[in-house]
Amino acid sequence: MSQSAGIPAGIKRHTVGHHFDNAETEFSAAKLGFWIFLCTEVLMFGGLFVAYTYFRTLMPETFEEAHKTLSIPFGTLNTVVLIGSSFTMAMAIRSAMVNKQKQMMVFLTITLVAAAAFMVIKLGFEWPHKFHDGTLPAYWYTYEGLRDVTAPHLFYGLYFVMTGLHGVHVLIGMGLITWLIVLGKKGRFYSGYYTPLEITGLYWHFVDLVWIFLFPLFYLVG
Amino acid sequence: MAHESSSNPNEVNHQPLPLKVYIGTFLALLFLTFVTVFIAQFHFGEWNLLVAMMVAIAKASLVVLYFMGLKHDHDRFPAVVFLTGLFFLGIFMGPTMYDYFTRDSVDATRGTYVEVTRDGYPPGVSVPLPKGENAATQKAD
Repeated sequence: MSQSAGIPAGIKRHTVGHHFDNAETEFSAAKLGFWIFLCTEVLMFGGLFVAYTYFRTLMPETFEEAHKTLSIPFGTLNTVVLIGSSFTMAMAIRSAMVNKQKQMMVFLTITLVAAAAFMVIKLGFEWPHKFHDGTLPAYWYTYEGLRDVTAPHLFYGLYFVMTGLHGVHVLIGMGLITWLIVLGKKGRFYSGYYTPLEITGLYWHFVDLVWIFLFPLFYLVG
Repeated sequence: MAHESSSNPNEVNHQPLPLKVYIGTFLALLFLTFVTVFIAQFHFGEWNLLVAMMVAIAKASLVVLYFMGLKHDHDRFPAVVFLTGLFFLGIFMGPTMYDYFTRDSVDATRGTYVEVTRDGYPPGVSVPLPKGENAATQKAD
């Protein structure tokens, strides 16, 4: 299979770092390193999920009542937006692998817009409503509607910390995707080199993965 | 696997997965999202959590296997690393909850299981008691 076939003009061909034998080892090493990082992420979010399980078992009525104050339509919309952006991210990588750079840029832009949409829905529509109602963590909790259950502020503490940490990851992901768009414009990605795309893709799918668990645990079954 | 020996050591030469794999995964994820939201409208008590978690695990598996490509990786290192992470998450979650769920069944003063009953001992006591205390309990009976 000829490698030069189909590589458009204006692409900057990749040179392997001097500390690697060839592109294949370089690619695998980068990927393995990122998976190890993702494991630390699993354990960081894992700590919060353990806290969630603990308090949910301690006060199931609180979680049952408090979760009704969250908006299922907004949560579902955000799930669809995030799954869609995961799909376009995977498609952007695939486009680079088959040397369709224009398509890759379109998919990356859609991914970035979807990530921004996720944050707008969360910060612009969901959270202001909670600030207004006072369904906030600990000290700031002023909501009047949940008087019959114990410590409802704990539910909102977990909600804001867990979705907040996830939101920080979405913001970091937006930065990374912007970086990819800049590199893509410079013609850095093609079938012979797409490591940053692949790595950012892994990160972005992980962000999707966390949301896949946050959504049912907070919005659906409380 | 798409792992041909490349003529140019500076460039990788990977074959992408077919388009239908990505589209199929995407549609399956949307379908499962619809399913989990639909089921949440009904109230089955504890079953809601079980069903929601099973759907979430199915969705997560799709993302990890196809979008993140764990199924089609050239080597098994990423899979081993990821499963190790999940294993440690299990160690984190499992014993924590085991401790928590079984606290009620432990006699706080003696550290023994309350359910254990033995002939000649008070309920929940399975180890020999100190002489004086034993006599006091017997007298109370």
